[in-house]
Amino acid sequence: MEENLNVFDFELTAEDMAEIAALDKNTSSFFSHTDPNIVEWFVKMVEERKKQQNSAEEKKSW
Amino acid sequence: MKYATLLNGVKMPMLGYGVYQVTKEECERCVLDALKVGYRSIDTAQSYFNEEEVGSAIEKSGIPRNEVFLTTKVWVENYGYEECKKSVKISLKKLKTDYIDLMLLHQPFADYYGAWRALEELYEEGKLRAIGISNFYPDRMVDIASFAKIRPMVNQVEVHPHNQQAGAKEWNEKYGLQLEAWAPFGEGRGSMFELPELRDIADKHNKTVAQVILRWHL
Repeated sequence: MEENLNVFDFELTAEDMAEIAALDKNTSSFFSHTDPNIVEWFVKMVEERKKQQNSAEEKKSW
Repeated sequence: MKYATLLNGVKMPMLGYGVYQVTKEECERCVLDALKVGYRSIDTAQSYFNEEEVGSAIEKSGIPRNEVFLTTKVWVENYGYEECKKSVKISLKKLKTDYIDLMLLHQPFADYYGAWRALEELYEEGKLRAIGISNFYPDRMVDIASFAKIRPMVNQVEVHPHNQQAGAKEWNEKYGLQLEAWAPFGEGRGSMFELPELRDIADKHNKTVAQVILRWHL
């Protein structure tokens, strides 16, 4: 955690930036929100969570 | 620390600590550690089921509330004007605060326009210092940025070396939205931390790959 905060004491060169730019795959490492299969997956997930978390009860208690 | 200035003048730390997938049991300790080490921006969401623990951690840390930038997100289940309003009030209670620094719409599905209207109102009431969206690809962003009463200030999307989102950055900049990254390391997918290009750069600067990636983001 501490290490990751300690990033303000150095700069990347233009060369470094170009090298990193070349790593771009231009696609998600996870999924696309425009894929209808994914949207369906979200719909299912939202419905499942609603049931699991007993959200109506939870909401009432807060 | 570097800060981004949002369209409404609010300053947001450019580096923060997120608690996606951090369990209830671990969350309070993790956030306390983060705050102790110097993080001043914490990101959670209604759908992470750990807002309460984030709230406890901030309280127990002894750090004044106004020195912490707190982000949370409205989940799809709570979209629509009424449900969104209710859910924000619950989030405020769970987070033990009377305002949230940045409230985002978590996903571009269901009645997000209704939810956005609720966020606009809560923003005008002063309960939310800034409001934004997440996972809105450029077409969805242009739509809501153009037709909503209050333009979103932040769009939190997936950005990391394998998915650099140059196009998204351009579009969001055009409309004045601050792009924010989720999975800034791609969650390590695609052997992110072992890539020789990144290892070389890290060695050259005597830093870790993670530090190099963060520097690249900033």
